[in-house]
Amino acid sequence: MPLPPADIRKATVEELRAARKAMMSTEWMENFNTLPESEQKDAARLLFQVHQAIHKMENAKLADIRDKLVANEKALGDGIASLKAALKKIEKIAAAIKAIGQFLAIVARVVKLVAKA
Amino acid sequence: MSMQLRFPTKSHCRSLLLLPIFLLAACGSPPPSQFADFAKLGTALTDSTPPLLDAAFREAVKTDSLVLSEVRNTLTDRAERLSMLNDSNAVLKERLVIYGDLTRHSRLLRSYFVTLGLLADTSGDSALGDGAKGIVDQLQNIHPKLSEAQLGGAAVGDFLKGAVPVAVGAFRSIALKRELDARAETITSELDLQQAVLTAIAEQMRGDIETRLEQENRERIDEPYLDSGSLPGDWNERRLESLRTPITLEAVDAAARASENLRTSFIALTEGGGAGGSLAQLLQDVSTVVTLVEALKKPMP
Repeated sequence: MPLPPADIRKATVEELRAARKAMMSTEWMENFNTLPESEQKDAARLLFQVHQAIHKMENAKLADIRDKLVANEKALGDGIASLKAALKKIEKIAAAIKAIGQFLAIVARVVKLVAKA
Repeated sequence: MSMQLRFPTKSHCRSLLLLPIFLLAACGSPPPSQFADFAKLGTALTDSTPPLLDAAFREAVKTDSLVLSEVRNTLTDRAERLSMLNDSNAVLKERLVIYGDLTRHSRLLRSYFVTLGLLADTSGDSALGDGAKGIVDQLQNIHPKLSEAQLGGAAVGDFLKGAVPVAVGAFRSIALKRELDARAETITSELDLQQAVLTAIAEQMRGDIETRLEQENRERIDEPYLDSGSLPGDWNERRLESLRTPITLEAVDAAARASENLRTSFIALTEGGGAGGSLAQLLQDVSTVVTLVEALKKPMP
């Protein structure tokens, strides 16, 4: 059964990373130093191509996730708005309690003054 | 000036008697405190995302520069060198744009968690109860007969002091549950993707760091050993350093684990059973991430 494309990409980039790491190793360099100049140049170009392929595939994967996150942004914004609306209702209760308390404090003073008069 | 003050009427009593029903409606959801804990941890994790992305980009550039300098030793043609440098720069710039978008997005997700946390925060509700009692106390000063009125066997003021925070708490629970019901799919998807981002970055950083360490080990450990002549004085320390996991990789691995636990905690919250156990694990994971990210921010020796 063929692998899904995502799994193929994952396996490919893992192979490329392993190749890049191997091309930095002591064992590789020992062999590299025995090659004729033209083959050394080919090997150097191959290292660069492997590295670029890794970075491009990594960018593609990140971009794909980024695009899906961006698609979620409207719903997230709606969630924030809805939470803020609920918070505002609680704030209104607090403001009303405070305002009523302050009003009644004034009324209580007026009532006392009227009672003394 | 004449004022008519009313004692609690039948309609006021009916509203208060509806309180238990209101509370029952809130019963189906986890307590606000679990939402508050979840939101706090979500905020801490999203705060860690920008420094992790920054560390990941620095590793990518380090490895890229290393590869360019390795091939430069062999490829001496200026035009070819310039072409390689330009190609590398283009790919890195593309990554920087993507990281910028991910950073911006993490700030939006953070706003969501912060707002969720504010709605779930019941710490100010007892002050509302005090405020409500204060109103009744003031009314008693104006109309002393009110001091004889009772509700549920308690003085009106004392009843309201207890009932108001409970009612506000129930309102919070209902509002939070409503938000969960409306946004469960979005937030689950969001947390899935956050985990995917952190896992992808962990894999990239691991690849970059392993490549760089391979080259550094070759130059600093293997070649001095293979060459004739004495070994450098710090050769053992170099080996020790090479065998340890770099802190940047520890941090991003911890973040990927924490984001998985954040997702698990959210699913537990949506299922209504509460997220107690998974929140405890999440707290541990997020603490690890925060500690490591703080260490990342310190300048390297």
